[in-house]
Amino acid sequence: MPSPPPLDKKQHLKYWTRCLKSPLPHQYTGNDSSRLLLAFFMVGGIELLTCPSDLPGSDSPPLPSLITEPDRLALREWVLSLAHPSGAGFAGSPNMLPPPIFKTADDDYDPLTRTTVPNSPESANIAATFFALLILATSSSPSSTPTAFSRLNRRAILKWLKRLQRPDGSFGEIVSPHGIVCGGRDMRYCYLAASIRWILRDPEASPEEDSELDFNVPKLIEYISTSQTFDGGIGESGAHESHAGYAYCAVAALSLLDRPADLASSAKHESHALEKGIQDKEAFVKFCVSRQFAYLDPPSGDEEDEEDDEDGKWGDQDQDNFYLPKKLADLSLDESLTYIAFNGRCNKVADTCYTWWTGGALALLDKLDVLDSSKSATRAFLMDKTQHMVGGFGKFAGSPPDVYHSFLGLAFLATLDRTADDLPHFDEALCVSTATVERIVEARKSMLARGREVNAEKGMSAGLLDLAKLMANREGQLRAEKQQHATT
Amino acid sequence: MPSKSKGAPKAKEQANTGSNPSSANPSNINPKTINERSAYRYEVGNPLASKKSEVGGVQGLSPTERATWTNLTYVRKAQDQKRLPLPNKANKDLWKSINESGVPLRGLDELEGLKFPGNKIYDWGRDRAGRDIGEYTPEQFKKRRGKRLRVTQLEVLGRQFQALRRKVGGLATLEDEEIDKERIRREELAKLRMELYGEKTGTYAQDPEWDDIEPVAQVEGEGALASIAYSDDYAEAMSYLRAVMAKKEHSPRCLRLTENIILMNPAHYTVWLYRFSIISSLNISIKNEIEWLNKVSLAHLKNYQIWHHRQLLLDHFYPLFDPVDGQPATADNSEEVKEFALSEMGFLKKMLDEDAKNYHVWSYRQYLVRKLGLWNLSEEIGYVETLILEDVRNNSAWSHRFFIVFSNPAHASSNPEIPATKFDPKVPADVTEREVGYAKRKIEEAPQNQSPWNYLKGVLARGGKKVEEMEEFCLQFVNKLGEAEEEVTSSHALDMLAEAWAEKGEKEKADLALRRLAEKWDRIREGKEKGGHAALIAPAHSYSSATSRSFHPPRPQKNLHSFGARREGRNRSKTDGYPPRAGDESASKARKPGAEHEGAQGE
Repeated sequence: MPSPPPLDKKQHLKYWTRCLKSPLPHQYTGNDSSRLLLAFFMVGGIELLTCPSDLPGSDSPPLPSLITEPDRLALREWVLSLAHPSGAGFAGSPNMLPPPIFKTADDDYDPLTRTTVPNSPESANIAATFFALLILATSSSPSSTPTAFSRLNRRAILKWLKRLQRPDGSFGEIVSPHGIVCGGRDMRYCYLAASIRWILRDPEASPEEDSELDFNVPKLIEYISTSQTFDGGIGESGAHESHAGYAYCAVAALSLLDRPADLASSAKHESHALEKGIQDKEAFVKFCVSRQFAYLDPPSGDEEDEEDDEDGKWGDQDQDNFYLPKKLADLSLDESLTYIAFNGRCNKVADTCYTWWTGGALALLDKLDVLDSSKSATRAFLMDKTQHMVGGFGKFAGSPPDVYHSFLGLAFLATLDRTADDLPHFDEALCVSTATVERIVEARKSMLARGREVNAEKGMSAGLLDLAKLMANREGQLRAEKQQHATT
Repeated sequence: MPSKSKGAPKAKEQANTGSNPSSANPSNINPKTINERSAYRYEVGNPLASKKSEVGGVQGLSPTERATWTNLTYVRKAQDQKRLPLPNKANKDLWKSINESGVPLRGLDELEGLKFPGNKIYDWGRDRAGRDIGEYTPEQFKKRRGKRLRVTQLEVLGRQFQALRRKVGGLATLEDEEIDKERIRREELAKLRMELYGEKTGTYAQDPEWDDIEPVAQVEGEGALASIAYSDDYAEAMSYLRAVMAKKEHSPRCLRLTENIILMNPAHYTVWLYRFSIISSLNISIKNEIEWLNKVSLAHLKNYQIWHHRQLLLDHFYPLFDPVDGQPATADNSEEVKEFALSEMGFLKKMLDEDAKNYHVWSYRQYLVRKLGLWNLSEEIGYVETLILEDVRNNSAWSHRFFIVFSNPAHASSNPEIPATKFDPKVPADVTEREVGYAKRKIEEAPQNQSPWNYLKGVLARGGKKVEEMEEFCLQFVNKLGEAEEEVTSSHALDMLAEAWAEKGEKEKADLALRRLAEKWDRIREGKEKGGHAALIAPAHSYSSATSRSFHPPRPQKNLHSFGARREGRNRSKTDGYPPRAGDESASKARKPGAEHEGAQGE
């Protein structure tokens, strides 16, 4: 069967235009706390589709981005407006931000933990912070990239991140006013923490600065390394059921922990953290490839259940859209491998996003070649089954598109074989284009350079002040001496 | 002016009787709409206005008319502004002239041309439906005016209520009856405001209990993305929440507010924490809170925060269980804990009845087992077995079984904890045996189901047993490998055989097994058909080019354990251009009875 034609980027951009321009219906109220996440998928999806082609022989101009220069500035202001008043992290939406009266209130001293807690610290959320940083970088233009991070309180964010780590090495999503780390022990937070650290950490930090700002990296590696499950996968935490999404988070977190700060190319570094953190790599890869299965179309007439269940839902996969043929004789072996789909857990259903979570994890382990032979059937599944006619991808075959699956579908296509769809180089660890990682590196560099300048200025002015004091003292001494002379 | 009140009706009467015939048409006397009535009144009050504009200004009027018009304008201004005191004589003359001309003393101010669209005298505004209030019939207008009066009245009563409240020193000291009355008034007020102006008064704004809170509205920046068309209720509740959170108020009304918001947005990460702090400071019993949570959980099956809240609650309240002989209370030593555990498990069963693979529920269940020490609770193992009996492919249940068996402190090293994929010398041999037996039985029910195969593999590794011990068991599912009558009922069995043979150093057999997997058996996995319904899970598995390469030259033995050795599959036909062997005899055999489906059907 012929491979589906390349991605219709124009059609996908149309979908993103709709997302960008019109408010989401009230049914999205449950996503109120994750608006930065939704916003990132929009900005990131548009960026992937409008990057100039670097394929040899392609001379077609890139599609115009839907985000104009004034839009970029306004977007940046909006993102920055979601920063916690103390500078420590970001809130997920304007609704989650502490009211303005907090902006002037002093920090609270918490006698229990003997620390100073910013007012309402629980407003800042680890996921929101990660996506805020990604939006700032993704939406910057060549001229504004150097200042993309200039208004961040880098130190405050890193200090806050440090407070989100538990003694066992894991991370929570928010820190309570009493300094208690909240949120489950969840591999996702480990990933977000490792990403934020990579984006903001000063590679030339002195040991003193690291001890003040950096979290406990060996402890995090240790935490992840004890999380592999009996079937080789990784779950939410500890002994929880293995799950492709959490498995990706673990691998990506590890790979970021010792990634060189200026590594923006798609080249992989040799990650000792990854080596150490995944105890049984072979079993892990087996877990990943076991996520693949031959996807079969539902026999016609049996689709009602599917329709009922999946409308408007995304983010989970518990309904059964897993069609089994009535008679095996109806199938030829050939047909049954036309489409290959991925599930997130053993014996569960196909879902667009698990192609990404699994593919991304394998790519980070440099094992993507295990998907080589199933590449075209997997791509066919996305293109023919979950791609929607209005653009974007849905969760299941035939589902309406949503921003989450639309972005992750693109992410997977860019990871699997970007040339087939003329997509840009993709960074599997940070889940953005390589171009955006370059922006992050540049923005970080100039942020750090400015920080050093300010420190130097402070240092200089302090030196001048000392000198002035010294001179004043000396003058006073001289005057006193003179007076003494005069009196004697 | 003293004569004002007397003069006016008289003058009006005169006007009606014909000093201005042009405005005396009957439709204007009985106006159909408010606009018509206004126009009529205007003309009556300004008898010379239309003539003046007809003749092109004051200059066009006759001298008498001009004098009247001037006097009228003058006297109106004079009496309105109570300015320009005139000498007695002048005053008398003025009034005389006015009386003689018979024009009305009172009336709408004369307009310099008609200012409003549609030649209207006055703009009455629009009602909530956008209709011009001027187009109301006098009847409708009267009704509306009644409602507006009622609004004013209710507002006055409301202010009295507030004054009373201040006087007695707060809501708590007010009579319930007073508060109820105010509530009823506000309901009426909200209804009237809606009817009159289309203004929605939120539930909280209507409630006297919330009067002291100044809601903090959300500010949506200009460049905002992913805006959500929040419902009015959500927006209002959020604005009150932000206000009370800022005040750090912990009160029953705030608890109700968090409930309201959680029902609309259960993923709101700060409201849960706020709720938790209210519960702790109000000392609300865990039972009540858990009962409430149960309801919310059933309504929001996929929510994550709910389960974290439940954990926080338990963390907070667990220390209240009395320690037994200095040991922490567990289900083994405390009836109280056991009872609580069973009630929790009862609820979790309800949740899993809805979705037996709900990740958050299983995560919480593991937490509960650890926290309350439910390792030896027969109900716990029993439940997992029931679930596996119901659906042998329920991987969540298999995963939980591994957890209760192998994370049990009695069976597992704790310092340091040994990863699940590694041998733990603390696992008792009989436990390993028991679990191997269980997995085998379940495999026999459904040989192509990967869950028990994974489990078996996990048990072997954990218990330090060799895979080769499984050779005989696996051979049940693999017949005449490499021969024409080759029959394989489980690709997982073949996979394990390859490993077992490799372990034994039987390289050629291991190679053959891997080759056959790659060529055929792991290209597609299938169950068997039964009762008109067929089960098929078909991992296309892994087909690395590295593997296919390794199939051609003899592969070094050590590769068998490397990842590459596992990569089996379809790419051979794909990359080498061999047609897939769809019609292969043994392939069709394999599609015939295996026990897969019986198992999947739950016996």
